[in-house]
Amino acid sequence: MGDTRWRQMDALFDALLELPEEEREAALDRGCKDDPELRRAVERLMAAEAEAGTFLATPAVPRAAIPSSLRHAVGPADDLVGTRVGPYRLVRFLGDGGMGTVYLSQREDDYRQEVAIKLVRQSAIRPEARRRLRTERQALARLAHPNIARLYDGGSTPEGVPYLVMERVDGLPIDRFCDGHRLGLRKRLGLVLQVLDAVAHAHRHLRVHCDIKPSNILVTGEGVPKLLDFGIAKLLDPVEGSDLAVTATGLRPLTPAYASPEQIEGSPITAASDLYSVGVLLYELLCGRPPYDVDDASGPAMGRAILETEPVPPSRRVSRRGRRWWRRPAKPQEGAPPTDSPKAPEVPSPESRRGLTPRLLRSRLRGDLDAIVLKAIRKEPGQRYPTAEAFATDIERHLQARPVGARQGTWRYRAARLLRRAVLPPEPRRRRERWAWAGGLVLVTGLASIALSVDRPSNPCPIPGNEIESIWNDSSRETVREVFLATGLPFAADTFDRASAAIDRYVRGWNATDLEICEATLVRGELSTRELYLGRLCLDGRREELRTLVDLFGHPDAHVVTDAVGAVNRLEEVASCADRGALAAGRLPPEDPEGRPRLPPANATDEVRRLRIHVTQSVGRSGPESTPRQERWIAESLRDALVRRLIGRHPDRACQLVTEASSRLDPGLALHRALLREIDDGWGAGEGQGASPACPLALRTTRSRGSSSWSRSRPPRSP
Amino acid sequence: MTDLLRRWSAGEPQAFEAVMETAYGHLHRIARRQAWGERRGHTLQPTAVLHEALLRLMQAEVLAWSDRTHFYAVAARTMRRILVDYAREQKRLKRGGDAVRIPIDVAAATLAIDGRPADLEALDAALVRLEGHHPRQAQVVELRFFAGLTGEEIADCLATSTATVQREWRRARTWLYLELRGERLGG
Repeated sequence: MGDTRWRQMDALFDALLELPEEEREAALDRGCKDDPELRRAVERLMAAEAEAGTFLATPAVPRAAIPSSLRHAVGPADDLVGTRVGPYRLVRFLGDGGMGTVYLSQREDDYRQEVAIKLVRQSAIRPEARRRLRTERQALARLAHPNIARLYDGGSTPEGVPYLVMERVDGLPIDRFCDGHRLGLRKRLGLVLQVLDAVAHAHRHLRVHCDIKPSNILVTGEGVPKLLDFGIAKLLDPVEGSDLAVTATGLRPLTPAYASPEQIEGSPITAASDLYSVGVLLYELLCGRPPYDVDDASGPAMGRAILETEPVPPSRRVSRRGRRWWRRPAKPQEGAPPTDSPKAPEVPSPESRRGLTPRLLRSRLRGDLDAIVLKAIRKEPGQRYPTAEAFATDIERHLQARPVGARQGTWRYRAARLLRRAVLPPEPRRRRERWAWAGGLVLVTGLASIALSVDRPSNPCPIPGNEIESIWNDSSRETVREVFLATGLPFAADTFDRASAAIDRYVRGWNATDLEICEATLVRGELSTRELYLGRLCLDGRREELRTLVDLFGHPDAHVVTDAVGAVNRLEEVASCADRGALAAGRLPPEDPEGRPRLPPANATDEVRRLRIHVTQSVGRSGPESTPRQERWIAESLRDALVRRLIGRHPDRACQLVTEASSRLDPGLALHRALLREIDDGWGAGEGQGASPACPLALRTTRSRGSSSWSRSRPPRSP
Repeated sequence: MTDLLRRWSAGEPQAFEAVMETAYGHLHRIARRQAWGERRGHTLQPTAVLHEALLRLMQAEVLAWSDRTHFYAVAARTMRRILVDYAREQKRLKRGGDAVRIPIDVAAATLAIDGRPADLEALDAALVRLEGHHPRQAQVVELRFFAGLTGEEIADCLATSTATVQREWRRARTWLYLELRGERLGG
């Protein structure tokens, strides 16, 4: 029945109930003129009202017995081969993990379609978490990325065993793949870059992996890494919410060796934890050993090491023992004492697996890669790379022999970098002239830095634009134009032109500042690499603000269009990212000089953006808990609130809206919790202590956030 | 109470304790009342129900309640969820022919229609549909049937008059009754 119809019926029913018996007939006649159907419905309601008797009269009460019989264990692995699960048949046992058993399976109606089905161990999931399993599964199924094994489907068997249907990946764990193929460092880094790309994609969709480790990254025969079980660890997390705890609850992270300090401590897990795990993985892939030498890698000693021990740079973990063996690789010495590297001939050393000598491996790792890895596995989440993209960018910079952000700048470092750039050009065709130039450089060693700044054969600062072009380009411009026009507002076209021009100006300013910072560092030597890094961080923040705004422009309503030009003009000024004073003082350049309404700092902006995406995704999802109407209402209120917040005019009103919207959400719904968390994270960071008391969410979160976000005034610690 | 909730949401842990105590007392009364009203209600354990309810409330992380409305709304919703979960579980076990029979017989008398028991799951689904048409009616039902609040209490919560609550309850109950009988009104 349509909603209008329902309201019509309900209103008439209501009116009739208020009338004395003898007046009802007349009212019915008046109310249902020419509408016999409405009349029939309301008459039925009137009759049913009397007939309903004691229906619902007594409030419901359950017996308190909690069914304890829900814990069917998954049977022994082989027992289940041949069993039907949904439309699939389990064909072969593939493996057994912490969370369940995985089977190769085929669709019954199409044998060619092979999938992996994971039967979730009952002890891995609490009964209450099942509802969450269902809603989360749908969200996870939307993660589509070439390096993420797809989650297709899921459900429960008639026995109540939850299962997940996933893309079947035929491959080797990344560490075994690398060693088995004797991949060199560049190829290893290439694989990690792909992993980071997948992680970045998932983080953009608000999914955290929580259990990144070699066995969860399979590399296919074609050399494509695929991340398995994205988000599953968190989903099956035995502690409600997002915490894994060691001592407090007796529960342990699934894989301590790759767990971040905050995971060990049982603090909330964020994207930073995933980046930490990738850092540990990179550490091992580079030098062949884990960051911490602990006998029992799954015991409490490992937890302590992760929390307390400072990791040594990977280059220092390259063994010295293997050296002699490497120099005589072909034949182990006859008659040599058995104590002299007895296993060497059979077990290839980590160096040889990378096609290198220990000395060479050490020197390759020393410097950039040491710095990158150590930055990735800092104990404090705020000191790590802020995003997977930033992590990847640093690796790419290293591969292109450009200065990496993780490394503190020194004269020697810059000079060495530039020399290497000259000696190892990316494009072979320019090799000769670079060699010639390098030769010249050697002649003027003493004046190297001057020579570098004046007579560079190529600008070490790339032509900027790529990063920001991913946000504002012809295609996004066209999208925004179309949706602005589609609002049908009379001034939409004009506003678009002006907003678009303002964004163009902003982008030009961004590029110019990017170039300026780079040249000031690498060409003129006026800024240290650390200052370059800070400036870049600042620019990253500005860029993300622009991204938020352009995203917002992609889904505009009247508010957005009306204030579009103003919103662009209120973006934080870009040129301030090159502010020498702030950079030299180790601060991020100042924001908000006049205290005008502004976007939250970079971190929070990112959160708000994620929230917005999240809300957008939630529109149209109709779970059993809430009606599509409610969902739409919530999503619209939140979006409205965000618009107001971002445009900066009515932060208080926006805050109220969000509070109100979130209170209407079903409290048990995962979406509700997720939204609250997202709002907390995003807005808490954006609100100052002076936030309006009408905004308890923001107040609360400002207090509870403390040091969890990277501070605006604290520079990243150099390695 | 309202003040306590406000202080709680502003981050005062002591206020939280006080809120829980007050809420607990209240919910406990509700559960006792329900227990007495229940058909074969000698084995009911309202305290256990409450524990479970409060546990869920806390897990839901809904700490930003600014008034009692939210609190009771959440309490009622939680009760509803618990009951529906139980009902669903019971049904599943019966269907699966499992040896374990859990003797939950949720408010069978009050839900019975034409002599045959109606299930909570169906009521839940009907409530979801009602929410789509008239959220407040659904909330009235929820507060009354799943949290055991009286008309006055509900009116207080929803900031409306007792008369309005009464009228909405009558309409909602009738509509749900027809829904559970499987009757679709034309239109």
